[in-house]
Amino acid sequence: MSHDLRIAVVEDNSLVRDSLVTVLRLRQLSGVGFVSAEEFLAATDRASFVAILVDYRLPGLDGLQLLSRLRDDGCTTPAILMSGNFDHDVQDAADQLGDVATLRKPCHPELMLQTLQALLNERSGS
Amino acid sequence: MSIDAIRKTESIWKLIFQTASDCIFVKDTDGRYVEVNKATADLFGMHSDQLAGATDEELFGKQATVAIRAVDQRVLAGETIQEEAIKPVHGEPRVFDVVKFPLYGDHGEVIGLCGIARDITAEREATRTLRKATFGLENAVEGILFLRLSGEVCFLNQAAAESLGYEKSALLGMQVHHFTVNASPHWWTTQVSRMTEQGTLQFESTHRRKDETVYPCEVRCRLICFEDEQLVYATFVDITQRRRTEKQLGELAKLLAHYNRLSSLGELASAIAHELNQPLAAITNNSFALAAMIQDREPDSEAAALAADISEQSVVAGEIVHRMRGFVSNHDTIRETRSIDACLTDTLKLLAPHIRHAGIDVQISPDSNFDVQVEVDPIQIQQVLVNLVCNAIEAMNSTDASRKELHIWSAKSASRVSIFLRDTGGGAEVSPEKMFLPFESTKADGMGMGLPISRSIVERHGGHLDVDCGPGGCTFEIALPISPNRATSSATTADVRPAS
Repeated sequence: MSHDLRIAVVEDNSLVRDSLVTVLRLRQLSGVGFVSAEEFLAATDRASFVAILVDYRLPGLDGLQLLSRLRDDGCTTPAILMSGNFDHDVQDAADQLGDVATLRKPCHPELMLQTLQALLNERSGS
Repeated sequence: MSIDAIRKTESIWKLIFQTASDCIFVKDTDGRYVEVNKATADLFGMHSDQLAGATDEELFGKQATVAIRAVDQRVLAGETIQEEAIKPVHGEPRVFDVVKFPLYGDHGEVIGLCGIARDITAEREATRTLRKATFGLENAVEGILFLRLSGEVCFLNQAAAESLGYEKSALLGMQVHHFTVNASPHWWTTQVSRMTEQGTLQFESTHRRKDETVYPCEVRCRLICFEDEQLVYATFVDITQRRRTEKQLGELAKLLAHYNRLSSLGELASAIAHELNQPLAAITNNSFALAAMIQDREPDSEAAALAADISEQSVVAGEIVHRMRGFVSNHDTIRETRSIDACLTDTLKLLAPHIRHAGIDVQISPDSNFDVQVEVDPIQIQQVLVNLVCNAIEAMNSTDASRKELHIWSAKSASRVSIFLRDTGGGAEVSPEKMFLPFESTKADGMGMGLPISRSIVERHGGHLDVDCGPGGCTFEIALPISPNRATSSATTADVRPAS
């Protein structure tokens, strides 16, 4: 991975958002924070992100709604959906979107990094 | 004897004949009335002369005459017959005690018969009433005892004897404290003086049977006066079954309370888990980064090891929090088809003592249809209903409402059924939305978890729980989706589920 890989971090809690950006930096990944789904959708450079880390619980559109909106728009950027508690419905919906991994929050940062790596490898391999 | 004397004697006989209260009559061999006294004539509302020459058929009708003739024939053949006969007089059946004997002529031939009849209808009626009363007493479900003030049994019915396992005769004369557990002659004296003060006395007691086994019973007794003697009239019923039901209800209530506490704890755990998740996520990420950075600068230093420890432990903390939440949300969901009626009846049955104690008048709208099937976890829905009813009782107890009424009614749409509970507790101090927030109790000892838990339970059932508060009181609405397979009804209203 190189430093120019940009990862979107959509998380309303600033402490969590910053900590994720910090962890990403350990692997020379450039995390860019967004406080809401709407803010991310409004970003003009959103096509430049290679992956999206998104919290399920967000004010306004939730993480799942954001991802399904992106898929509807033809955006196939791989994503990790994080939530404190997944029920079956959310899990099923996430699985159907494609290229979306789900992680329970809080998760081991190593696991998050590995999951992200796997998604990116899959992408570069295909 | 002078002729005057005979005349006098004859007139005395005539006087007796006429004034006797019994009916006296003479009939000839053809069955025609020759002579009747005043009592006989009065019976038919006629004058004695009018009855001369009358037949039984004219007086009693064709049907009754058949039996009368049969007896008369035997009397005319020389028999004296005493019988109890029912005869219709003016269409009313009357009971007579009749003696008939033949009358002989100068040559020993039968010339007719004489009858003396006493109307015993009233006596028979009194005897029947007495017999009915005795029958009722003997066949009463309750044991009935008459006791002297000394405590001695002087009368008892069959149920009393059977209940105590003795022959009736063995119990007569027995002292009450002999078959009452933990009783003494002094105890009986106290009870009698309490009866004198209070009238009817009701208490629970334990009886000992002849075979030494014991059973609980409910006794009611009062003082009565029978033939100038003061006696104690006592009835008792075996309440073994009632005690058992009460015990089951008590266990059910305990289970419910336990469940309530457990789910308060669960909701609390869930709330804490949710609040802790975010900071824990940040700590986990940052300590991971910190450990990596220190390791980079001071490889294998003590600081690097400590940072790695923090990182690992924060992950463990996250696991613990997750498991804490799983404790509430991961238990198996139970769904049974039940009628709203059953849920409501079980709840009211469970809380009956509480409701009675608080003096609440529960009014269930007769127009409501509670026979609607819903898919629910019966214990959870009961928990909601218990919570709402208890809240209503507390609300009504804490205000000095003149009327303490809990109105319950239902409303049904195509897909939903709602139960409404309205109290007269004077409304709420906080806004309806605040009522459903955790820790917002207005009660001194309340945890403020009842309504939030109730709402979350109803919502987990696909329904909703709302409140509308006015100055007179609050109305809660529990709306639940109607079960699609309405045909399957699993439990009846009388079915109290045992604790499991």
